[in-house]
Amino acid sequence: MVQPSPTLEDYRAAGVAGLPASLLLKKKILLVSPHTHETTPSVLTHPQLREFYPEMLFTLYSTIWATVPLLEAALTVSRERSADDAVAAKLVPYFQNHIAEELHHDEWMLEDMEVLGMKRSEILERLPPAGIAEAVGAQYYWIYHYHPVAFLGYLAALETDPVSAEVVKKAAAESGIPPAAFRTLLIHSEHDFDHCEDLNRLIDGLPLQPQHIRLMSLSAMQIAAAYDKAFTAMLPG
Amino acid sequence: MSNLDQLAKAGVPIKDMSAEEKQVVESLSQPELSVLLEVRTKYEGVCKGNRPVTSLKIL
Repeated sequence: MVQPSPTLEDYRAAGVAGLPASLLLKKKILLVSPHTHETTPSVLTHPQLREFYPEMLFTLYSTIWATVPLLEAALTVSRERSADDAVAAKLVPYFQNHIAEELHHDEWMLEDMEVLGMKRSEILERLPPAGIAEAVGAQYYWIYHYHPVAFLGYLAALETDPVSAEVVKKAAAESGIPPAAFRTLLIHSEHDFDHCEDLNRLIDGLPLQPQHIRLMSLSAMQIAAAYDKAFTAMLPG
Repeated sequence: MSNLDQLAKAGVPIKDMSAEEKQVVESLSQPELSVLLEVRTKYEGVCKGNRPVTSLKIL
């Protein structure tokens, strides 16, 4: 039987008590990264997209190549704790399935960058943005030293409210960038809506305690903030 | 000092926040508030006030 979402009575603010955990998580992500609001035009509509698109793909790649290793770490720790931790036990099948869904996305992104004329060897040798490494690295700390439920916050920040396929297709058609360089973004735009629903359903069905929710929020806010920093540095002034 | 007071003291324009946003801010733990303070006071180059001009959402 699926347990109901926590009422968050332990939260100090009475105004957010009773919100489903997934919705509260989304509201916190929006606080730290209001750029992600669904009513805000996508960065793909930026008139100078062609100038910063290669850098944007590299920033995304710096995150994507860590997704499966992070999922594997989260799965390992969840399995280890599953005998006496109800939250961890419920994470096991989700992480197992999500690994299969995320496989090879880093390779696709590499191929997209090669379409732009970027050299694979140079991409692989280049240091990722330090802020991204910091936020991704924090996930290992949370997973191994606190609780693997943290990784759901990270996924919520990156996979919820994806850009629409129409926006990606329009950018591919009108930006002057080779359309093949949008393959990975297009695939995500077509599948992340399903991932988002699965994730929200999982989060709201977990027997979460307030500390789990705070951890997911912190994890989500860290990666959302890292993206804001990286993109702010990347976008033309 | 409330979370909102801390944001305001740091120069974050809270007057444009909705009542719901303010409630969520007040629910933040100190580590969460620290992340929020950092990003809203140092890295709002693509924002106008509280509002973004371009979404960074990609994946």
